[in-house]
Amino acid sequence: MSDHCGPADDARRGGLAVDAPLMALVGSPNSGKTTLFNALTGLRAKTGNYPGVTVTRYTGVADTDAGPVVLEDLPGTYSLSAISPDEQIVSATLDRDDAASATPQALLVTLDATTLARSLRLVAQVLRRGLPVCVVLTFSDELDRRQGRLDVGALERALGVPVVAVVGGRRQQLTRLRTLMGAPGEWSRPVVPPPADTEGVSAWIDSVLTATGYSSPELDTRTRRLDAVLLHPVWGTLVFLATMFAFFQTIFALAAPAQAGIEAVFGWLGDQVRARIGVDWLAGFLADGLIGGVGGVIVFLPQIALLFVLISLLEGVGYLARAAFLMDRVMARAGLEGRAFVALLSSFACAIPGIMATRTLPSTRDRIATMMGAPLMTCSARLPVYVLIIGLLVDSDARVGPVGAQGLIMFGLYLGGAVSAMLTAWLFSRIGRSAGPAMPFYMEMPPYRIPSVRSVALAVWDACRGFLAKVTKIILGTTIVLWLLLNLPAPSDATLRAAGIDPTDDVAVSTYTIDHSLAADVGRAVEPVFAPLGFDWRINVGVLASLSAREVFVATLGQVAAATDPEDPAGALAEMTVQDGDRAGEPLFTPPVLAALLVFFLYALQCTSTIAVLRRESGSWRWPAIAFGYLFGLAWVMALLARTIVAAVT
Amino acid sequence: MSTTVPIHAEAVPGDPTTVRWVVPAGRLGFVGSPAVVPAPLAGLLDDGVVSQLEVEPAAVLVTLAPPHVWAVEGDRVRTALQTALADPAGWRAPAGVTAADRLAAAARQVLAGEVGDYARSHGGRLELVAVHDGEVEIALHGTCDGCPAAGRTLEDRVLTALRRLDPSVRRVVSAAPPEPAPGRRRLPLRPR
Repeated sequence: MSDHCGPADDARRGGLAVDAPLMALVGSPNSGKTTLFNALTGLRAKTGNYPGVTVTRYTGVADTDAGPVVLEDLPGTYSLSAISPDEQIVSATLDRDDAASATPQALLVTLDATTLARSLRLVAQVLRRGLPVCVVLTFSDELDRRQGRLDVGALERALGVPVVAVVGGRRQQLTRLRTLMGAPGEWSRPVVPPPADTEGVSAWIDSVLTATGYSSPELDTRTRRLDAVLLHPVWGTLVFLATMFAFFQTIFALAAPAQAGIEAVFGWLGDQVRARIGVDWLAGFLADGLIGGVGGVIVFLPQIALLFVLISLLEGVGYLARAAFLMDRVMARAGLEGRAFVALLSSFACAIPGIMATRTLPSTRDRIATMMGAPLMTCSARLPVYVLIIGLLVDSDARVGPVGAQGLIMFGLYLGGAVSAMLTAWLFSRIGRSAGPAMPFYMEMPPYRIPSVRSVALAVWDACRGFLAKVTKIILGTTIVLWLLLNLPAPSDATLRAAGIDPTDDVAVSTYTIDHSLAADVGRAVEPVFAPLGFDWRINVGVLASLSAREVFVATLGQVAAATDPEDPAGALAEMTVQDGDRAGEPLFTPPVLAALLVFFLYALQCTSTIAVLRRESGSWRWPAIAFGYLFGLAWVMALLARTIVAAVT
Repeated sequence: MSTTVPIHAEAVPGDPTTVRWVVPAGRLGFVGSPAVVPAPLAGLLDDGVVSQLEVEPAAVLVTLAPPHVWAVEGDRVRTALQTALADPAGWRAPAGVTAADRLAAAARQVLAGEVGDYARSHGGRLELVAVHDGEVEIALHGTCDGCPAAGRTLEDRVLTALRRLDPSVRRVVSAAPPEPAPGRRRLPLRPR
């Protein structure tokens, strides 16, 4: 499994005895629940100015005045009515009769002061469960700033439970909360819990709001003015496209120097290894296999970092929620709800959180449909492959009008992925048309906020750490296997002489070895499948190897190129020629073949982690099998189409 | 919108048998222990579940008769009270209680509450002097007395808070201060 995508801190009990008191955090999506969780536990679960970020369950240890307690961060939910899978989790956890999940001793409920009228509905339901409850009032600073009003003391009296106002996880404000958390048995309880029926709850909320002198916050003028443009059907869409466009231009323009630097370091390392290690096969393994393969992937670290800087900035500012809202109109026309787009949007970084985010979808049909589309969203694993192939396809100086051609192609690929993902989701939602009625969808438009440096830095750090972890586990392992396959069987001097090769000419020997390796046999064996796309056995080996993880493709080509010309692997790659068949001698990486490769990677499901998560989330092998087959077929057809079209126009 | 009367329960410190049901201000138009209440609530009194009812300007205090406890009876009392509140005409005020009594009760609640706290935090004290014809007269003591910030500011605060409890209030005035010593001029309570 890849740490890159999944939550890194699933179920930590910090080595505590299992009998440490268990408390749970309950709250609406985007109510500052995870921020509070992180502040209390010192953990770094991902937060966002964006609902639906917490879809998995996190636990951490929080210090209180009476010693540590285990705190569980439950998924954000608007109600305990248990319609969607994540509501079911929360509901079952709070159910004392449900033996399957440990019932917490006490609950912390986050209550967003700016959306009190709606958020109190959840509080009413939670209070009826009879567990000790402490309400943590969040965003009260924002309520003040937006001319809203709320008497916290009156709220405490009206709810009958302790109410603590906390601003944005500032640690120094948590003193009172930590004191309270030490003694949940002493918390005041409501003398009569709120009513259960919908109408009664509405009346209860009205009464509580009146008693607290609540006046709801005015819509921020800044937010209102910006939204007038950014949520406009025409201007909004244009701004969205322009933003995304600038996004990809930035990734190329800014990351290039850092990338060149890392490349130079690995080149130098490879030279040193070749010069200093006397044992030929060991030097070859280290220089070509490890440094050429793994190094070839690590080169893309600057791009990954930059991608996440930009994504977390857009998310933190509150723009991603607007993008989701804009797309909701399109999605609604396709018969899918906005939550499906939220899930697809999360797949931007990686399909796995996207697939897990489908837990917020109440309808099974929509869940499956969204899961089928999620792997098509351009994840960060595709980035190295795209960058490599685009680099071969067009020069970095090439321009289309005022903009860089490389960024333009990247933008097109991301757009293509998004459109294909939505079409796929739409298609699958048509197929299973029997499911229930459309569920109401609440999507909060968060006010525009300046994201904290800390949250951006954490997002980037997590992504980079995950990427490096993936490189050292999956990619390193696959690279070693590939190196063996590419270098075995080792030809004897006699064999080489028989083939007319001078055993002292290293380059010629390694080229011969690779051409006659086990990997080459495999690559040639599948040639009939990929020949229509213009792939030769070397690309085939890369494509097959990349079924484990997409980046392995880059590592494979890196190894092949490093073995062909250790001095200039990049040049060797560009100058590779076709070895067999009727195209023998022609350049391998022609524009039609490169286009076919790009499109193939856009569609194919080459990620074992995604398949594993699909299996877990859909509950059977049926859907992962369908997704793999469907996407492979689609990838092949579309790649053929791309090759034909590009061949026709060039 | 729902037609259910918005109410919620608040604890009465030190008295677990009584719950202050906060109800819309001025809903009942009187204060004190009602002489007659509508059927569902009357039923609870007759059955010996509820021992006492006391109407405040924006609340109804309900006391349970032992051995009944709120944890069990809460939902039943709420439903009965909501039904009864939907029919204000079915309630009868206790004998001799006037609209002025109601306004006075509201004024006392305000002076004991947030506005009074504000004055006390500045070392002052507010006192209800009289209520007549929708006009509430208060006296300012302690540091409030003679403070230029007192006057209008305090009266406005009292009026705003009072209006929330009893919409019948027309105005709030400060009582005429005690005669100043001859030759000593006081700062005016009201600007021009």
